[in-house]
Amino acid sequence: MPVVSIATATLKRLIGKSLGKDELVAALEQLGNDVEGTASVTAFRCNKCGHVTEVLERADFNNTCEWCGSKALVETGTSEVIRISLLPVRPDMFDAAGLARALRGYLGIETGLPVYRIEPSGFKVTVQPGLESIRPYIVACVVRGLVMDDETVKTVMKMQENLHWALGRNRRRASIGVYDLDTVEPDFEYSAIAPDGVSFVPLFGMPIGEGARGQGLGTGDSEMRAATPREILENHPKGVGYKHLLEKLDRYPLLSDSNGKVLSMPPIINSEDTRVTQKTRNLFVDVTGPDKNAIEKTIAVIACGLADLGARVETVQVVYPDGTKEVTPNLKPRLRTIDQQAAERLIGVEVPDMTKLLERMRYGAKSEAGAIMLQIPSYRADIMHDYDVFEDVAIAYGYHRITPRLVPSMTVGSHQPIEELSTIARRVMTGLGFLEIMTPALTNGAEHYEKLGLPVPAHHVRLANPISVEQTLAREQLVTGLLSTLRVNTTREMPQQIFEAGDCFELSEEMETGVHTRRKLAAAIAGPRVGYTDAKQMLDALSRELGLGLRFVGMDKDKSAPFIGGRCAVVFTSPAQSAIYNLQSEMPWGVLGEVHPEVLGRFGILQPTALYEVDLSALL
Amino acid sequence: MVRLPEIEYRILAALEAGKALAVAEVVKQTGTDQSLVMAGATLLAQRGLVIISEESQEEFSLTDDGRAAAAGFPERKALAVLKAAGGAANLSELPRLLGKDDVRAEIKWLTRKGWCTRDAGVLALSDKGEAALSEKGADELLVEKLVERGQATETELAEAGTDARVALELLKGRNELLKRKKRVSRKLSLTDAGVALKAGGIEPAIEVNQLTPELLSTGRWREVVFRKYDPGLATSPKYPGKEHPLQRVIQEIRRAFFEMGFEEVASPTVDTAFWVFDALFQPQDHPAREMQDTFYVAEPKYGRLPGEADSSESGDSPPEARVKRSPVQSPFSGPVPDLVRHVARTHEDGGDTGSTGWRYKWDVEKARQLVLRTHTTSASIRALAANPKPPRKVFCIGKTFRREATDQTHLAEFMQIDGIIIDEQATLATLFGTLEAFYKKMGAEDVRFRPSFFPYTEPSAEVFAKMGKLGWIEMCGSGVFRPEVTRPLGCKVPVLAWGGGVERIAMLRFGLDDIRRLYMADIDWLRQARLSE
Repeated sequence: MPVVSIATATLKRLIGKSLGKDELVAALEQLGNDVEGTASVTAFRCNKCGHVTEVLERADFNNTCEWCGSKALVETGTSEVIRISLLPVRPDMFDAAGLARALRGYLGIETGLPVYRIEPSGFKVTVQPGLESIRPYIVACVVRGLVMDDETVKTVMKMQENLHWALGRNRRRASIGVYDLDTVEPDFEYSAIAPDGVSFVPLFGMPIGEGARGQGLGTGDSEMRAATPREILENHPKGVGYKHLLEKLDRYPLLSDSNGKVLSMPPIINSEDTRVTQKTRNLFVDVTGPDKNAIEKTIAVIACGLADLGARVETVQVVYPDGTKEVTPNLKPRLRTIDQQAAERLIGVEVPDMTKLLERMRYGAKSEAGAIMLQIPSYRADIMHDYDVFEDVAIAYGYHRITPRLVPSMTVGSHQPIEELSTIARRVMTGLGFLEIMTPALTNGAEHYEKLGLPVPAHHVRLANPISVEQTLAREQLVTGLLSTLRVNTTREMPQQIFEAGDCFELSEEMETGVHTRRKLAAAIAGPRVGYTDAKQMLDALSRELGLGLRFVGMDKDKSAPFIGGRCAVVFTSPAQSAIYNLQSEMPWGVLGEVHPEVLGRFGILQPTALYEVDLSALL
Repeated sequence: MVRLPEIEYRILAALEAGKALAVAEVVKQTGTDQSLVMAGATLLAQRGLVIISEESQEEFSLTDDGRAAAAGFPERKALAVLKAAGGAANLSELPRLLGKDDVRAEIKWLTRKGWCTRDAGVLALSDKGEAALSEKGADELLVEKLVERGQATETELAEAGTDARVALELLKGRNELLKRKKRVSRKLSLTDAGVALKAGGIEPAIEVNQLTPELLSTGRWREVVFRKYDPGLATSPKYPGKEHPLQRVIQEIRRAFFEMGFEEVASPTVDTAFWVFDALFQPQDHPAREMQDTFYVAEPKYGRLPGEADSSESGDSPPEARVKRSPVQSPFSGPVPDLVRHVARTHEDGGDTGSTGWRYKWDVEKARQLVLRTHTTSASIRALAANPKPPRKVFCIGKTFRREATDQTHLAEFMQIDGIIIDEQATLATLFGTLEAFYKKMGAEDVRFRPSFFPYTEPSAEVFAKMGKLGWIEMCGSGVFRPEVTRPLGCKVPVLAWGGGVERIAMLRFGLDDIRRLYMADIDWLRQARLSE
């Protein structure tokens, strides 16, 4: 999860009550926040783009603006921050204003539904036809009266970034644009445009040269020239980064003002001309996306957050091609009625003052004959079910006040047969003096097959997106793990006796998942004077203890890998001598033998080694 | 007649009542070596038959100067020169006569020993000097003795006929010739019991190191004496065969579950996204489902959803042939079964669960994709779907995967536990009670809960346990399954759920700082990881 730094002083100021650091951290944690700790950060303002980069470890800082890559930085001071791991379900608590709003309620300073007065701006966004299958929905608002100092600019940018992550699904579901209102001429038009149908100067201009692509904006040099949407997707760092969201379309979304001046090409990039600077006083904000619900929640979080920072928020009318008119943002609370007893049943305690607790969680709440009528703040994007509200009741009640108790129902425990069988196998092998090892289930063709002298099979359980060349497939046998372990222990005292009981994977169309998981057991012994007899002794001991009859059949010389031909065997279970198992017919159960010197050489093992492997799951 | 180990017999035989004998002497008489004599004497002393007495004496040996002096003391040379010069000489002539410039030592020792008189610058031989010409002094004899023996104590010198006291008196002021150090010498003597034992008659017995089948079958073990061992002697280490430390933690956890009445379940490691994500109400565009975080399987690519028929023909072919058949590479196409439809509707609009749902178009093909399970909650959820009737307690421990690069603290694969309780009385309070009991079984002194958020539980709690000297450790995530998870599976009562990793507990317990060492083990570490902590 991303970690956000919240300025302690700002948070305390917004809470409006003096709190010790420990008290503050405790309250944040009781609300469910994952507090990583406190730290001191140094802020650097970029002279080029105005972005403020906050640095935790000054010694490691390369003196580069994290946003535009410029080196023209001015240190603006040091402050204390609380580091919080973001909770994806609570985007309304991503910033100081939102946290303060929740804390003021939780601490009883200001409870109940926060009310936001919101006036119409008189502006409108007209949605042109043609966006239906592209990015159909837009919401917008006007924000006035904010002093855009470093901290506020930073807050707005962080809010945008974090909401893109949590609600926007990396801009796919919702993408946010913030503009200097005084650089544009209302009203606005949201339309679909051909890839070369317009040109504008994107934020921070177009990069010059290859090296500038891909990284932050303008990491290299850039020039303030206009470019078409197609060109932006090809060459602008943000265009390259988010190209996949528009790539398959023949028209792209575009937001422009009454003079045709471009505000942005959602969800890719804003225009340079409408950029927010320290001189900005009034903002125009839009959120676009394919999911109305997601963009409405997103703009509600932004509007309420900025209002709590002291801004006046105004509505914007959106007119759709079919004539539908909507006034956005809609900050009206949603209504829900919950059953007090259902909440108590879930938590397991009686909660007589439930409405008070809900008010401390910033709901509007009224009790009426066992039911509670709720007003849910518009910024609460996470309330999908009564259970979400019940959880807030439990949090406000305090987890530490809930007395733990056991369910009174009697249930009978039981074991998985394969685990029981594995336990017996482990008992036999440890009794023989073997040490258990556990090795990874992910491996690769070279290690798993070729080193043993086996060809990589045409079909095997293979990953679509391995993270390294070492881990590309799921293991089919345990022999590689045994030999790899012996290799890293060549300097340890001999003889060495090791075994593993672990899951292996085979393709099998008859399984619903196409893969058969097999619990295999394998053991190896390495040391001077080790030979086939050692492997057979171990396997005989195992089969005797398991009550299993075995038949040993030598392998053909050309099919004996990884063993020495003539010193190895395939072992078959014989149903007649294995009465305790319900075996239908004789079946191949495993292999054993002396490992071929060439194989030992490939692993770098300098001791004679004998091993066996069998399939425990075949017995069940 | 008493039969004794041979060495003990010989020592007793060498000793006489009332007379202490030096160990060296006993060695000589018994014809063995010093270490055997001392070992035997120690055993005899332990039985109160012999006393070992120690005496500390000064031991003398020669310095380099001393060894040089053995060739002739300076005054002895000077004596001979004086005699040759007629019995007297002027002091001023001495350097010439003796052939050296500094003759102070000669003059000093000639006069001190009284071999010469000194009068008005003339040195003259005395009577004592005359006598000394033919007789060596005690000091000279001592030096000779020491040249011969290397070192000796006063007693040894006396025994060798040298009166050390006189010699040492003479050597006063000549410390540069002698080295002195303390030497402990041991003597053995019989106690009264020893005397009595010996008087009663003793005889030597054969001593053996090893009891043999032959000694047993012939009964000759009765005639031999077994050599005694030093019971605390260091031995080369031996290690039992042992379960892997991580396995031990897993078995402990299993035991805790069984003791609390849980049934163990298993489920496929390679599973459909349906069971790993969709059935847990994780929306299909959830970041955790992205290729970035989850291993998807390329071969086979798709699995069947619950209720979808097996498209392969029934299995009368031999097992090998069935196994090797080519894998499913395209999604099954057919009617969407009921269970799947319920889950789909819950995602889209909440269905009949009382939820708003995620409000998007659910895609059945995404649910059929195979992944390496990212948690064992898929096992719990399969068990819940198979039988949602309360009361039930179910758990699973198994291998899970996350698409993470391997380093000291991360692996792409790890073991995870998952438990659920399906019960009319399932509440947050009984969740806390269950987890408190569970972790106390695992050795926790105290257990605490903190609000948290997980995608498929509501309410949710993080669980911390105080584990002795390790302090507070985050143990697992827990909560009550969302109704969006339980209702589509036909479950009408709340379901408690929790899950967490095992490796970290094992690492803390066995003092490992690199998780990779669990899965590529140093055999010495396995040998030495103690069974009890």
